[in-house]
Amino acid sequence: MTADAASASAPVPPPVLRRATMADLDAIMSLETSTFVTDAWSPAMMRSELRSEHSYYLVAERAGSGEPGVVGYAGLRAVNGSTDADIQTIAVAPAVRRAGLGRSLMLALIDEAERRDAREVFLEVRADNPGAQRLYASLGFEQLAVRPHYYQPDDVDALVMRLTLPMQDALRSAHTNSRAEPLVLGIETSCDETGIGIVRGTRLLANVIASSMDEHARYGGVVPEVAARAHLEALEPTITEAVARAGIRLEELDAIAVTCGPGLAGALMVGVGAAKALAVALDKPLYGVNHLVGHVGADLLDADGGQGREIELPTIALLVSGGHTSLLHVRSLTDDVELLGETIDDAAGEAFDKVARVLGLPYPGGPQIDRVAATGDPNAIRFPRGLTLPKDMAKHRYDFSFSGLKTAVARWVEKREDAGEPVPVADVAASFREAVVDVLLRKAIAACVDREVPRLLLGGGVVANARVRQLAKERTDAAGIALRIPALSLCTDNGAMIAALAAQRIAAGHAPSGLDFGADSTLPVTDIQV
Amino acid sequence: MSGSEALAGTYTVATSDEMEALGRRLAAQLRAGDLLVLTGPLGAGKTTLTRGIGEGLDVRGPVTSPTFVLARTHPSLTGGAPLVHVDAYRLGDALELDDLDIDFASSVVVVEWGDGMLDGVADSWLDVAIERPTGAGDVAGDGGPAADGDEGADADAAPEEPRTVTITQHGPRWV
Repeated sequence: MTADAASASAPVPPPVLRRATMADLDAIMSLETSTFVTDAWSPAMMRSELRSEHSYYLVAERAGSGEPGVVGYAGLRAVNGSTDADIQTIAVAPAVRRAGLGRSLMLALIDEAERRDAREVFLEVRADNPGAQRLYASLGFEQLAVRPHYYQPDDVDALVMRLTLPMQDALRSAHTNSRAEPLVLGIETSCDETGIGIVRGTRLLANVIASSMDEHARYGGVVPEVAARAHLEALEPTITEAVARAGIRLEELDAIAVTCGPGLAGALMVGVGAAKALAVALDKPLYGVNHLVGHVGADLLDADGGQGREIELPTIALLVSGGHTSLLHVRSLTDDVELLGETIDDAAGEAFDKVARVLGLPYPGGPQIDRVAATGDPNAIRFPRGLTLPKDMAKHRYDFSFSGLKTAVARWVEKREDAGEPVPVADVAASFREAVVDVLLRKAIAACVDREVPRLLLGGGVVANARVRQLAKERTDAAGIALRIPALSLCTDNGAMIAALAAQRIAAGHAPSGLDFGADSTLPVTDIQV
Repeated sequence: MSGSEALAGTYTVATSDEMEALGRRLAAQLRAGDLLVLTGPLGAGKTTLTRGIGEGLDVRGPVTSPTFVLARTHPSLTGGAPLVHVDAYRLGDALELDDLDIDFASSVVVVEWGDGMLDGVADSWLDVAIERPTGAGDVAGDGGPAADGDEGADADAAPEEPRTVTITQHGPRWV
């Protein structure tokens, strides 16, 4: 048999498989001659194969948008009454490889062999095509023998492989479930956390994070070059640890996922580069996905590794971290996310950092202000609430602004210092924090009410702030809104949420991203996948 | 150089809306290769001015504080020069700025806090110094103690204090 293209795992949305007819001969020959350049079958051979009662040929046909037509085919020979069957050929067009089409064709042929009461299925594969060999091995084929010089004129050996029927249930279910519950490894490097997560559908198998936070502390914030270098160093050991914790082999993965934006350009590039290398080396489809939508996807997962859950939709999502302050209306995690508003100046986490600096507290500011605020009076000073006045509502109803608040705190502290009075740090911290949290939740609740969406989901590192969680609970309870807060280990940046989002995209039938995308530091939230 | 005369000088800017408008006026004079250095204390309005520049250049927004990311590139929506917005406050020296690998030649680059850090980077640049009232130099809205229960809408407004913006031109580009 000729099997050059069988490493193919081809695209999603899946082309439709159907029985080949003589009318498909031209399309099949066109694919045959372009795939098996030196040793293609002749049209006469192919015609007799299609005509034979002992043959079972399938074509994969792509309909709808794009270029319709036959994008793959495969053939089985199973003589009536024989217990042996042979995979005769399989080919997948280059444009649709790497998304599981070769696997689907193989499974369909194996099913047919079983229906014809075959006990063993044989095939030959080129010795210089390890990708195809991996695919067959993953289906349960074992190498039997080598046929030297089998492929001419290339003078390449053939490996003979055999599958014993019936196919193991575990293998079959793993493959039939691979679209609904794909096994995905997610890589997240948009900021200072190197996150590697592995999920099967919505079940969390591993969530490993290496942080370079300590290295950034002396700079008073994340330094992209430092982060990028730290990612480079951390990626390999983090992947190794995640794979070990998940108890899987890399070869078993159905797909690789990676954050391609938004985030720090240099840091993103490290993750995207690693993901591409991994996808090529393992011959797996690659999904480049949106970091912010990933934060919403975190709610699919159970941090303890239990079965995940559906996200109740639609939902409003408030994502708050050092780099982001965004309010989203999520109608479909995979296909419909609307940006309602975001910060027009400083992110909330950044405001914490800058006010901490004003108060002489170290970086990162969030936990420091939280700590100091514990003994302060949140109502001691009425700091401004940015973009909450009637005049702001037309243009910035759901946007945030923390710059004016930051300036107001700086001015308030300067005045005390100039007057020679002590600065009540605890009261300033508590009052500042109250102003931030008040605005965040006012806007989020307003969005829930305006959009008639009785659900609010929180995400991002600032969710670690105790006051955010407390006030969110109080206000959503009062408004009759259901509040969802994923476990903290899934709220901060992590690779599991990226893997979970990609798994949903795969289940929804979306094609992989290919290898032609790059990091996009300002990727809009509406671009769920590139 | 057309219009360069109009840039140098000292401006009094009463509100953040006026600051954005000044940014749009500046943008009208800018092209690829131009460099602006913004200085001023925390909360002076550097990002607000840059937001106006971004609007004027018609780049993909939003233009927000670059502190967290150090440098953010806003691609043009109309095929023009991108805006690169840099926060140099956390950088130690020009070498670290060099690490950011910014394409000065084909971008409009705005560097916040970049005073004295750009030696050798460019022959020509615009210095934009923004001053705000500091310390006891109170002008408006002190956001003071709310113990008296006075929590009207005005208390929630960020106080608008006037800024002084001084623009000076350096190098052959602006002669």
